[in-house]
Amino acid sequence: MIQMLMDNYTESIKKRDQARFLELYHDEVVVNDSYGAWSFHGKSEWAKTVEGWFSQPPSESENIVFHDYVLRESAKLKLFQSLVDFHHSSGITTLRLSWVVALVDGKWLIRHEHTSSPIDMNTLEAVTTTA
Amino acid sequence: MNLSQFFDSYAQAVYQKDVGQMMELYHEDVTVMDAFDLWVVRGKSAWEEHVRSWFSSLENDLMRVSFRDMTILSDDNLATAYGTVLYEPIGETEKPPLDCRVTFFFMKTNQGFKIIHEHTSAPLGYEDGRMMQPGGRRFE
Repeated sequence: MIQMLMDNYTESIKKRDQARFLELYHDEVVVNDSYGAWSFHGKSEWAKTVEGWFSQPPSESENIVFHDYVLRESAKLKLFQSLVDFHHSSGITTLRLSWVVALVDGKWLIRHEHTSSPIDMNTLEAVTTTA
Repeated sequence: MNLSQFFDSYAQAVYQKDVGQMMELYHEDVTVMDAFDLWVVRGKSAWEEHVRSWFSSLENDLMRVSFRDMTILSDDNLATAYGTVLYEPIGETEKPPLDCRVTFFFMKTNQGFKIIHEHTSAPLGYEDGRMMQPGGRRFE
């Protein structure tokens, strides 16, 4: 299931398929995104940001690679952590990602997403070291 | 650890700079994605070293911790809590208060729930690429 989630996440971003992407999220999702806002509460708030993101055309080299991931599973929760490489026309941006995936009416949906870069304590900008 | 006691236990351990009490909250296999400087810290002993160094860096100051807007989800074996945590230095320090987004994953052990994953961060501004704080407050 988690492989399917990673694949759907990747493919819907690469194809800029907003409906397919948002289907992955719970209505009450809380997203802590790496840029631009403290947090987004609810799928409709998140959808506005996704709309802006998906309005930028994909580049041919665009790809998303999950690595170093760990999944913990129980009856109603899947807790997932990973490093994610976003390949784009100007290089690779790595982010840390945590997902809380919850079972709702027979469907596993992202209830919480947290992505970030570590911050350099001296410059207060993203660290320049690689993960 | 009982989840209802977790937030108080965490805050108390930091306020008292009690490394032992702090480490009791963590699972041996914990991975921590900390807000500053490091991508991932793997394992309790590596994290303990980091916590020890953090507490020492406070010198004579104290650190008050408060959690807000926390969502908690759990079943028999796993649990998660996510929201915002405020680190507020108290003392002669001129260090400003720091808000972080925080996500905890917990796993049930013989000694109750332990933190198996922690992710703290602050977002970066689109325009200046600098660390943001809630409500447009600057960290400086």
